Amino acid sequence: MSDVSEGTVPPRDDSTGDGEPTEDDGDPSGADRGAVRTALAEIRTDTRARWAALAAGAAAGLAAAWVHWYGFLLGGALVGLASRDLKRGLLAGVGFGLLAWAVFAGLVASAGGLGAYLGMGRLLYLSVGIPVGLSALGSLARGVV
Amino acid sequence: MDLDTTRRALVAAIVGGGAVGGSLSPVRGYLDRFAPYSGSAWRDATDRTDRRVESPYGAAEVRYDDYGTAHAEADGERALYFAVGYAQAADRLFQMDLQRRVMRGQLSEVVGERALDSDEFHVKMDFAGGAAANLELLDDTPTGAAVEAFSDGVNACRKREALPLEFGLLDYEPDPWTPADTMLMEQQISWGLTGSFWTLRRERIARKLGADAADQLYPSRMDHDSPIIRSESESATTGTSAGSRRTVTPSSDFDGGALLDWVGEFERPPGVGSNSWVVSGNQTASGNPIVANDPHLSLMAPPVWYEMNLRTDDVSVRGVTFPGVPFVVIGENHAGAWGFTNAGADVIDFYRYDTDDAGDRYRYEGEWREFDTEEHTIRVSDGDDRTVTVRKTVHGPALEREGQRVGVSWTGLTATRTSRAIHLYSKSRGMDDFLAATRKMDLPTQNVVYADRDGNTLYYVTGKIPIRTVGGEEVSGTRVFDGSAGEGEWRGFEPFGVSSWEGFVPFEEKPHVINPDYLGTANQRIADDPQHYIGERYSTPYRGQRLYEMLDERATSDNPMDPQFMRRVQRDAKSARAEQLREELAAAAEGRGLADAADLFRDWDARMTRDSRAALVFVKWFEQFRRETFGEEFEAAGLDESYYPNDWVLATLPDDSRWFGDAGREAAMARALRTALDEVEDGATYGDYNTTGAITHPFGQPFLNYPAYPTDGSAYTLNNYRKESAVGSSWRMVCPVAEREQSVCVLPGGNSGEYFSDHYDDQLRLWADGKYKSMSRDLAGDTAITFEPEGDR
Repeated sequence: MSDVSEGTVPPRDDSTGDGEPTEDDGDPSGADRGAVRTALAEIRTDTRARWAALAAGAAAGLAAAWVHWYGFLLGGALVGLASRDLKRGLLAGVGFGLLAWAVFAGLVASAGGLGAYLGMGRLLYLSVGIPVGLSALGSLARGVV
Repeated sequence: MDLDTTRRALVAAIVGGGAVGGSLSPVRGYLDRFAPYSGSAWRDATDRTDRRVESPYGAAEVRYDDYGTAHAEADGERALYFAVGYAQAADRLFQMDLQRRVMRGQLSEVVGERALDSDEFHVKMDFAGGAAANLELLDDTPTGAAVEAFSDGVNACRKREALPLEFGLLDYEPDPWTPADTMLMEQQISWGLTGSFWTLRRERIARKLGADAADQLYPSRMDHDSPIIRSESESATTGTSAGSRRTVTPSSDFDGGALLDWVGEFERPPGVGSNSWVVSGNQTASGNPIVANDPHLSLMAPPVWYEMNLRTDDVSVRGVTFPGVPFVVIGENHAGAWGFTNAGADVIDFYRYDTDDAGDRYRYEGEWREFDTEEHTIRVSDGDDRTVTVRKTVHGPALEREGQRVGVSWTGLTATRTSRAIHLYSKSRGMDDFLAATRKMDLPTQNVVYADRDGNTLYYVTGKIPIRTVGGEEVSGTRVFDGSAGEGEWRGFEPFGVSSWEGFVPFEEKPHVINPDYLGTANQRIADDPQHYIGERYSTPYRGQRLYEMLDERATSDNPMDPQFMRRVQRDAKSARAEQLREELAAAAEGRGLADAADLFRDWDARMTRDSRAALVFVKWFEQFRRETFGEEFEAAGLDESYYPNDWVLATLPDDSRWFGDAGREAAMARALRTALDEVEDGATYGDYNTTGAITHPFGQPFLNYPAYPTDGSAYTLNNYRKESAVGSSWRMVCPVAEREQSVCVLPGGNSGEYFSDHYDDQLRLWADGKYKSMSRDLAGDTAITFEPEGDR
């Protein structure tokens, strides 16, 4: 995963660690795209807005993951997009995956099955790896927008 | 295109490609099953059983006690059995579905090609057809109504509750449960107890080793004096007019070939047996009878039995059943207690036929008949479907492979009243009721022991036993009969229909004892000279000998019997096989430079206990002794270890038997001992080898298997555990009748098949240590599920 992120992070993004938004690159896709980028830029530069967006993204991702594993991709993408840069976005994605798994483990524990769950070997590892991996993958969207 | 655009495109491709790849590739199967929250494998991990459920049959309640035993209570029977169906499905739905798939030949549909041989066998035997025939006898009976209510309960649970983990692992959903599925469960257990291809094996042995060797190594009667019924008395009926019966020899024109290799995989597991005994009030401290039972069946996760305690206004019964069967099979009710062991009766026969060149017709009593033929498609997961041709003759299904063909008659392939009998047991009010119900138990052939509150005791052989004749003479069932000539066929038997049973042993002529003082069964020979041929594949007498030794000793002492003594008998680990051989083995060792081993056996009490080194060496030695004696010649004849004679035969072969080679028996014993000692690690004891680790889940996923606890017992001890084949005491029960608070029991595992349940394996340690829990018929635990009449919510 680190190879992917390092290989796809351009110097310019790294240098914009202060949250400076990326300006429109001249793509003729129009005003909507520009508006989205402006909104994202505002969220990324405003600490409160960013945290709110991170929380909302995580909540939306969890809700979606309840019905389909696409929810981990979505959640990862949302928290990634709200992050200031790709590296932080990736961290946020991994964080969301871990959070999602922790909430799941809590649900299993509340149903009385935590001990059994922790003894499941490969299935346990899969159930950790899936949310973390998918969320990290989704968070790479930060490198697109 | 600038660098930034390229970078964005690349990242977008990675994200999009990952999402699409996850959706379309085989990875999707893993994601769909194992992703937290939505994964089908986790449905049961975070879900709790519903607390309120509507029932079309009226109000009921289910509680669970500290060991996960379901206690169900209702006003009426149908409401009760709806609740029972719901509870069984909540605890064992996957096991129920797996078992019916096995019996219907639908396993490949969910596990793939590896189950094709099994499916083909079960389809060709048409167990499903036999189950359907049973339903004819249930129409308009209270038992039929109870089975329907039970099925509805199972389906209500199937719809409302999260499916167990195993459905997620295999990625399928179960079909609705039907009354025919319940009948299939009856067939499954009956096949597991009586479905033997020994006749075919004996034919092969006679061809390979010769008739004399077959007679010597597989005697029709083992030479011992511990049958179940030890003496003729007014209360014992075994019959004495055995004059017209004879043992038939193998026909010697059946080799078996690929046919036997195939079907031999699906006969009853080796070593299946049981212990039970009943002691009258004359022998007990309380003056009330005691019943004890521990059936030795396949041990697995979850257990073969499901425990439940049921109550209506009329009935109070607690005990175990097979998941998928509504009624308590072994247990205790308000009036008495009962238990079963396998009788070892021969209720399966085989027939060969003259067929025409095309193989479409067979000759029967002078005329050509078409095989009753049907094409059947077996669905295969991730593979091509397989079409098999199901053929039947007048005798039953025809099994064929690579040019070999036999017709099969088995009593389970016709309609039976067994469900009605088992249902009536729960309601029985004493011995007369129990006997009347036993009369209806057409299958399987079992030794039943019973005692009631009035002090009556009872032993009876259940099940229909066929009488075969050749030339008008009653014969044993130990050859492949000439089906074209109508040889050895069963009068009144209608495969896949309703039989009249006229050519079967009458109920009154089956071995039985009314009001025995005490009587013990351990699958040994039932009687020395029964009126009719019953069977010849009885267990070795070791457990039976030890059981009667303990009961006799106590009966002749000043100490009356009590429940504590019964528990000691049930967990007794003294091996009569070891007692029979250890002195001789010590002598063989001493003269051959193995003095330490000789001392080990001389100092040993012949108990198969976990801390004993001698027990471990003895078990390993006997395995080698078998190989030393039979290995070379059997291998040369193409007979694997499953064909070895039983251990009693080996133990009693004379010193100069040719099977020991030129050096004789003692030398063979010593050679085997050297090999065994090389195999056993220094300091190792029996408990290092004899653990519950052999009790596994059918999936082979390590986390689903039970933990490995050291335990006592062996194949030849009353405390029965056969680690090699994972067979043993599948339920232990001691019931002092009329003192219900003292009844105790234990399961080898847990009552729940749900991996995430606290009761998945919570009794395993108790079982391994020979301990018990209460089997009181008082309702216990908090209400877990309330069933409300439809429309009340």
